[in-house]
Amino acid sequence: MRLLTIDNLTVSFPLGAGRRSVAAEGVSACVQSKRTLAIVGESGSGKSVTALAAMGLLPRAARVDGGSIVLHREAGGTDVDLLRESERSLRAVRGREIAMIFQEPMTSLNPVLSIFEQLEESLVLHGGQAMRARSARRERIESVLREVGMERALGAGMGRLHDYPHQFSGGMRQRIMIAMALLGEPRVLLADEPTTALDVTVQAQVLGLLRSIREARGLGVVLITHDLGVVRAHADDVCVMYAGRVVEAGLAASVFARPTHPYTRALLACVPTLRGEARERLATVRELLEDGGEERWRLAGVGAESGTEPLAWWPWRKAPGNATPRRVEVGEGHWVLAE
Amino acid sequence: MLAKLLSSLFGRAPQGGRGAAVEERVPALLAPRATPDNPLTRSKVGLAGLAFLACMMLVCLVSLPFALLPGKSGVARYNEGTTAAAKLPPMWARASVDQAQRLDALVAEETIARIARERGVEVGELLRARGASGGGRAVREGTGETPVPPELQRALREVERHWPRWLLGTDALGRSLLWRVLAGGGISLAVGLLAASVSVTIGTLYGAIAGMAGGRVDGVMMRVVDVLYGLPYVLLVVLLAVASDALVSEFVSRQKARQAMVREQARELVLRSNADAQAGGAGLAGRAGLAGRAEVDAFLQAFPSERTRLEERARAELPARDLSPSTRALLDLSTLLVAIGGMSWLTMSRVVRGQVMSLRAQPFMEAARALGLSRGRIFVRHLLPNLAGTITVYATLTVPQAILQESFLSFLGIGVKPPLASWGNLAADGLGEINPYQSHWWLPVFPCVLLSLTLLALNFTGEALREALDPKRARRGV
Repeated sequence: MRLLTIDNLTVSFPLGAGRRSVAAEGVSACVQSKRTLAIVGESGSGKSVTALAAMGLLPRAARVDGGSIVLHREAGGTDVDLLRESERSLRAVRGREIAMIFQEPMTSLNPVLSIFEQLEESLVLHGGQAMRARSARRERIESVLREVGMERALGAGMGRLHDYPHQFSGGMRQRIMIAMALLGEPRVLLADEPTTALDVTVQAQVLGLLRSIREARGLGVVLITHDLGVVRAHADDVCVMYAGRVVEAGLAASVFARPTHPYTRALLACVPTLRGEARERLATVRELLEDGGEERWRLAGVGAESGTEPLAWWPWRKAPGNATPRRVEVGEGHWVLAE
Repeated sequence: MLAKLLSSLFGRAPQGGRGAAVEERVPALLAPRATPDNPLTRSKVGLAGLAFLACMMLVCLVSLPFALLPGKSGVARYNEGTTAAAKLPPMWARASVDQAQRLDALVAEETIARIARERGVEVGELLRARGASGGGRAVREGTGETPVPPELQRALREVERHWPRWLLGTDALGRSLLWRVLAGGGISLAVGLLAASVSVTIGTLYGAIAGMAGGRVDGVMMRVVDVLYGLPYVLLVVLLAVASDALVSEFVSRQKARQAMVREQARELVLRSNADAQAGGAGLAGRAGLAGRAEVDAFLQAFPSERTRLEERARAELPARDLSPSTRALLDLSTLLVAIGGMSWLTMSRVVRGQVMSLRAQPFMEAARALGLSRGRIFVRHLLPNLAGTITVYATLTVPQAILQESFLSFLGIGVKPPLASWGNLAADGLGEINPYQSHWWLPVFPCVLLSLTLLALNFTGEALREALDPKRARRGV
């Protein structure tokens, strides 16, 4: 079931002197329930801007130049375009329908409030009448904390509920953040690099937790990351972003089986592997892209029926057709951006 | 925050489990959970400061009704005294010759007569001995030129026992310094605390709004602060004080209102006479419906009898407000508050704005927005608790500043008006009493000592509060 559809989103920032820097252009993606959409790309590729636009949390200087982000409601509710909602109604959406988990669990919790006070906030805001009583809130918080596997960490009788964030480890804090996000009963969970600040063991735990919660609650998860290993293990759908555009998208299995855009291939090539021959050093994306000349950019086996194999879209190439990229189908629900 | 403080005060007490001969070694993973310490007891000096401050406030507060209530002579105790008892030392300090003489003179004649009768001395002799040069003391101690019979000495010592007693001595008008210091302490503390809270409220709101808004709003708001900073501070305080003082005195005397009334009625008379004159063909000024300032002035000058009549009517209709002295004093104090509080929020607003700016960039602020919190809620729930430490420290630094400023303004005659005491004007008055000829040291010493102890206690308390409000500073004893 579709939960969130991002269509043709364009966001830009002012550079001064009448110029604008385009952070995201023509971005389209779709979040479905019980599925994880991974948005992959290097820094500055527009991953976070896309997520922030969906939350209505773009910096003040940013401007949405076009497109729509439609939140699909369950039967009985009306779909809304989040880009055209007022701040007031967006506040009702944030936390209650779309929740976000941030990169830095160390700094995403308020240092002077105990975790109970912070978890409570979400319930006071979104819990409605049922959560008026403190005991009811405590019960809910305890059950959600159990759900995110904090039962043992919080000690006997949840004794550590009133401890402060600095008294918890990074993984525990990220679990608390997830619990906080879940308390609003959202249907979409945006996770902006949720495991970047954690070590690999904890990373695996947190991602596993996200997956089990997704299954249990029927959530749609957006996983923003630059870790292809994480994507391969946890994502159902993948969007590869570069320079503000989605250059390749599709089912994770398909994209990993048949990476078509040279950038995607380069990204995959610079991931170290345990198998294969030992190399002295890994090639960088740039080296991989600059090698091989024009041929490298030809999308082999694509559009063969029309007789010409198109070139993959690349922002830095000065070619006449560069201005209007088009999508070329590669496989079932798997497309690549071509000139 | 307060609830947290209270719960920590009455809840868990810190446990000291040191001193065991053989240490038990526990792996960190299995170590029992440390009990948090009591945030209020983290700083010992702070606790001492808080205790002193609490005692000081309690004493001043409890004694305030007594100090303000009329004593034996029907005047408020802090203002009660006779010049005969001027500048007498504290009862436990040694009185100089002339002071002893004056103390002797303060003992009632009947008491002296009774003592003379009981001791078998002649009243006249006793009175003479008391009034002699060198006072009764020379006689008492036998240091006079003529030997004194022992019974007279005993009688004089008896008289000494009947001296009036002042714990902290008396001031130039013979008023008890104890009552004045107590009343003044109450006023100084009240002014300090209230002015600080005014400055904290304005400063926090102003700084937080500027910091939250950012951009152009912030720029304009902070330039306003810069401009106010650039102006001479004392001058502004004095101007503010004078301006609000003028408002208060107009409120009391209603002089301007009366004048306006007189002029208004005179104008009506002029208009009427103009209209009459026009109907008759000639007028005072020849214009109907208009009466300028000059014409009204001319009218009032031309008809003094009319003028007095109007003035009397105005007086009857708008009498000067009859304020009780205490109300008047209260108004004066609020003037002082406006002046001090109205100028001391500048630093506060800058500090708060800086803090807000840096907090705004913290990820947890964005996380709070992502939860769907409104700006107001973010301000109250996330910003203020983070600011609490900074605000407390600055507030506790503002209180002594306000007290000092109050004393400065009182010294200039703008602040606490003379019959009423404050530590500031007591110290200012007392300072003139220190001289090489004869030092009435108790006059400046007591208010100054109390003032500086209070300021010190306030600083310690501020430090302790900052420690208590910051959860990261918790020391964890096992």
